[in-house]
Amino acid sequence: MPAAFEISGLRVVYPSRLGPVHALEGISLQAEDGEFISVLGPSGCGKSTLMKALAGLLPPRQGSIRIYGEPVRGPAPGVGIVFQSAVLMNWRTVLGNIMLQVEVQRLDYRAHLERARDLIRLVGIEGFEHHYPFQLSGGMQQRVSLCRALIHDPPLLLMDEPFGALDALTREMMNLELQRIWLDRRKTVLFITHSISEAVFLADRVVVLSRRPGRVQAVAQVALPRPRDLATMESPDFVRIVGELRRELQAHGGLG
Amino acid sequence: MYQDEKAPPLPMDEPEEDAPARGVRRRGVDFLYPVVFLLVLIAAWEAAVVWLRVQPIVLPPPSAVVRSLLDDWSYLLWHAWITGAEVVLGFMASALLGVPAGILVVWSKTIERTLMPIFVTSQTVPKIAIAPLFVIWFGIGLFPKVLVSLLIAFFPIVISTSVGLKAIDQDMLDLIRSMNASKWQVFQKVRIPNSLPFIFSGLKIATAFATVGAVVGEFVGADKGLGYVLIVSNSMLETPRLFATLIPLSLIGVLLYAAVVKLEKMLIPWDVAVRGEERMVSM
Ligand SMILES: Nc1ncnc2c1ncn2[C@@H]1O[C@H](COP(=O)(O)OP(=O)(O)OP(=O)(O)O)[C@@H](O)[C@H]1O
Ligand SMILES: [Mg+2]
Repeated sequence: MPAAFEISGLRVVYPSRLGPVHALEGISLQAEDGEFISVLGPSGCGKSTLMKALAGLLPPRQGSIRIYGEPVRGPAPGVGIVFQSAVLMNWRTVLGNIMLQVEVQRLDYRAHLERARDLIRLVGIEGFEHHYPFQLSGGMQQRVSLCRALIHDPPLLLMDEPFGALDALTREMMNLELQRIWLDRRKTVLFITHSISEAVFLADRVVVLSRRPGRVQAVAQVALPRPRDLATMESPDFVRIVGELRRELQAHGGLG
Repeated sequence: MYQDEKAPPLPMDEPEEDAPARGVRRRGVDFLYPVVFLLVLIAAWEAAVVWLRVQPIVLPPPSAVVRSLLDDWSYLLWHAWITGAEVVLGFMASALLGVPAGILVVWSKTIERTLMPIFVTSQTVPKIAIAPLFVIWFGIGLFPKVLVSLLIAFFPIVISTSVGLKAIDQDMLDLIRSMNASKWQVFQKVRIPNSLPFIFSGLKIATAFATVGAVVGEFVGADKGLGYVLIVSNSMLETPRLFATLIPLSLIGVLLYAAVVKLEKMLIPWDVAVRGEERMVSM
């Protein structure tokens, strides 16, 4: 079994009118199949860039990226993406938004309709299939975008601060739900966040990026047993790892 | 229709049952506000003309305008049909050409570089200056009026269409690109539906422009239509009829506008402008 993804020597420089912006430098990172990796780092250090590179959305860059052994040259089919905002289409219902992927890639519509209903049940928004995004709360919208990312059963799920726009309570609940879904489906996940405790709570491994240009500055293994619950957050191991990561981040200028 | 078929109808025209008692306008009486305001204005006008003994040729009292409207209503109606046809045809032609033009301009940079400067420059040429030329080329029939109307109404539609096609969130573009969508699919699934609210605001502006265009076309050469009636009444100093003619003329514009709004509500019930207010369910 090849690694879920394998990034080596990735370097991304954006051209811009004010001169080139050096976003990532010498990133090497591997994920095992089914591994949950959280990424922390100061704002503007290139976390989103890392995700876009994995999704095959960036123009030529230096270094190599493979997903399950396949080199990434353009948009990669085996990837699902969730952004900070739900980016739902106002003109489509919940079901229509989830099925977008299926329509665009011309997959078997009927078979995926069943999957969509399954996923809707999995994330707990049954009954809202025919509602429009504006009729949903932020948390529900983000659940829809999670369904959309999972509809084509991609082995790799990329999440860019997916719960950043939610209030603290909803966010905690979404973390529990995401863990449950992940235990159920066993995707490989790259999860970008600004919250240290969220990163630790969810991950098998937490990667810390340095200030721009982003490099891998530290990696923390999280061996806490699963399923984790809110009590886990008070366990000595959890508190210790969070503390270490906070010191690591502050040593290099904080999460700023 | 750009709406999912299986979706239940949106609760658009439903009255708010649990709305707070104060600060809520009832939709049913909304129209009364402008009507009452206009009635007060008209009464003041009538009073001013009588008290100040203004010559009816300069400013007729509203009662004289109403009399003229009642006396000439069949005459005015006949001419209103002509102008109405010109306006509707001019408007539809501008929509049928303007929307595809807006799409083409966004589709290809080369087309944008070729056509946009021409559109913009043509906008700076006053249409009233070209209109006499159309009379020489095409005579005084329906066609030159439709053409002037089209030329004026076309531009706002092109601009609003292209703005709407470009106004896409970067994440949305990344998302659809990550699905390996073709350029056509990006237009079909994202850009075009996203542009519909913009297109409709362009169309609403265009209804007024199309009306102006038809009248301008009639001013420079016509033997029928409300613009022609205006010119004739003006030269014969029949000021009450001049005013009376404005009523069917504005009615044409208002009806066309209302038709566009109706179409908008049917086609894009999900749009914020159409919904008016947010309705949300939370978990
Ligand atoms: N398309 C682009 N063109 C030019 N520069 C860009 C582009 N996208 C990102 N950048 C720059 O690259 C750097 C990294 O951006 P990126 O969005 O990856 O950061 P981030 O770590 O996700 O930040 P945040 O935590 O605020 O989301 C930033 O300095 C940003 O200004
Ligand atoms: Mg980011």
